[in-house]
Amino acid sequence: MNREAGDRAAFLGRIRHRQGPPVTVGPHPAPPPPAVVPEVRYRALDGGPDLLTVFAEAAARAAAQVHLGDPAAAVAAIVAAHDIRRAVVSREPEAQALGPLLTARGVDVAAYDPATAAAADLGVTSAIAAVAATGSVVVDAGTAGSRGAGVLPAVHLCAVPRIRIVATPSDVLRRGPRPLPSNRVLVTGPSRTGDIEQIITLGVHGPVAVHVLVLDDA
Amino acid sequence: MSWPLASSTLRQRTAVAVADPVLRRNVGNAVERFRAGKADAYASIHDPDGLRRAARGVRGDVLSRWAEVLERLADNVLAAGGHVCWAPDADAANAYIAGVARRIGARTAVKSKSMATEETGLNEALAAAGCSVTETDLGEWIIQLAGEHPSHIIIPAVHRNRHQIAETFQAAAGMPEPVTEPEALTAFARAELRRRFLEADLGITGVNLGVAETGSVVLVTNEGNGRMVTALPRVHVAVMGAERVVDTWEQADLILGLLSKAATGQALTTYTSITTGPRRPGEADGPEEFHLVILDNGRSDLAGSEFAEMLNCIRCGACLNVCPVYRQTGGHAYGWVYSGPMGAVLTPLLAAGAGDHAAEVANASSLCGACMEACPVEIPLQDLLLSLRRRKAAAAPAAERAAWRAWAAAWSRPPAYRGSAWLATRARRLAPLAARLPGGRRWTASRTVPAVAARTFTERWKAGEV
Repeated sequence: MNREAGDRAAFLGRIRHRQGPPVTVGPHPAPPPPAVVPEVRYRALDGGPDLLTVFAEAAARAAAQVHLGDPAAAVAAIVAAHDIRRAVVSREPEAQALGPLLTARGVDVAAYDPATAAAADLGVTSAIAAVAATGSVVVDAGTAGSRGAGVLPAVHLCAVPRIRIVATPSDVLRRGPRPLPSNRVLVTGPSRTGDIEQIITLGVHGPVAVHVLVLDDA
Repeated sequence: MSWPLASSTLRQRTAVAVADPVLRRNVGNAVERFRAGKADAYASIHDPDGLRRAARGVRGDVLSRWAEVLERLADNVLAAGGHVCWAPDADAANAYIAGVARRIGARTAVKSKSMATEETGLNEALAAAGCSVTETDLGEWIIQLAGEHPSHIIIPAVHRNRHQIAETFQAAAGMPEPVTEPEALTAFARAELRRRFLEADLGITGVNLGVAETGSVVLVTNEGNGRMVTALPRVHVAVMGAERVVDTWEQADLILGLLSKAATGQALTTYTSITTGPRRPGEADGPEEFHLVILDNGRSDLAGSEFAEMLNCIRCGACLNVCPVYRQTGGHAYGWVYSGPMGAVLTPLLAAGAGDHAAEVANASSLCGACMEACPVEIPLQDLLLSLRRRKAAAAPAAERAAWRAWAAAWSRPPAYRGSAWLATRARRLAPLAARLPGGRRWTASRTVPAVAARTFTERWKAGEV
């Protein structure tokens, strides 16, 4: 099947015909483009603090809960807090490793598929990275084997090794692993909306709670 | 919902808006919240103004090589296994997407907000092709049910309070109980829309940023609907305004680093999702087909023109949040898809077919310049608005143009200037009669006629009084 539709040459011709550097219309002329595109520098990283500390603070501001230390204890707390009965687990080894811990708590654990996830209370994934400045975790569809494990169930548990915590989004967007997977998403806390009277409500279409379990092993 | 420019006048729509206390309170609260959030977000980073200047330079650079960047984007989308449609106008975009819907036998579609598809009226075109579209952004769903247009590009239902939303849900979405707590309303929407996500054949999104380097599209959302729409249906169609591109990930990183901070005060929105082609072998979900529709619809006309910098817009809404006009009227007063200062510039340019009705939207400004200060890519919006008004004045009726020319001629010559000032002081008691002149009543209805002094400044200076 030919995957290109429409007339590329005509479309681009209309543009090529006209494009050029910015035209100054008033007393605010456009600057030349920067020789090097600058990165956003977050004040929270001034002085080179410990990335885990910065991550935990930023994640909390985004309403995500961060767990350190014993995975079994964290899993027990999460299962109790949200009354988890059924979970789906994605393909990464760090996520798979939590399966037995969940089963030990009486949770029904299954591999991910959309229908099972839609009926599950908890989705478990890992992340290819975590971003300290924003409190985000980065989930790749290729590594996880899916896009929906962290978004369909009401609770998302993301287990990420401490060594994968990077400083800023630029570390992921500019320097993240290539080639890009079919989907890579930076997740910053639970889903939310302000559409009703600008009151922030968590848990719209995506999860109502995000738990990040930081793993100490490399 | 198809969106021809409103046939009412700016003045009529504004009168309706300022008479609505719910609208004005909600808009006032919303923009205050966003402004405070943006200030906090900018305070958390170094040199935001330097970054904005660099972002302006980046957008200008990309658009000076616009064709080459689009070509690279398209080639990389194809290389990643996606489809590309070059859509010169709204009809072409709608026809392509309707064709996809027909080919795959799509009966239902779910959409994660896309202003470009509101511009083109995609929902109606798909309905005609037998595919009904559900808006899934909560605010967009509310107004879809109510049969309205968005009134802010980030929070489309800002003009509605919880009681109005509850009524809409009961009347149009079958909500059984009259709950009004935001959490309960959200829970209802979550359950109702989840059903539709899981059943839909087709997922439609906009594109916040296309990145040519890898053939990727970036979608920036908070609710999770964008992720549902791009994970569950068999086919994903992303509709992108042709100017929403960058070349490299360095450029994308800078733009994304400013976008949500300027829009809502968030360092990043809940989901920054990067899609590169359809699902890959071995993945348990994701669309089998990915389509990128590149939409021109009047944008290429702006390239190389005095309005070219309007193409830099990344649709954050920061200008809406600082605009003294928008704050009083909300978005419906602008009469089209885009409101606030960016709407006041885009409407005369993109809705040009509507003539006077489009051109007058550029008047919805006090030229205070707060918009340019707020813009994360430093678009000189007030300069563009002035250009539009200059253009509009050049097309004004001959009598009006003659009057302005006469006045300019008089006041450019010192004797004529001093003479007319002297006349004004001596005739000052006649000033209230200005209301009787043609067009005078409208002019004076919302302005106080100035109290003219008894003698001119020149007279008083010569007398040593000042």
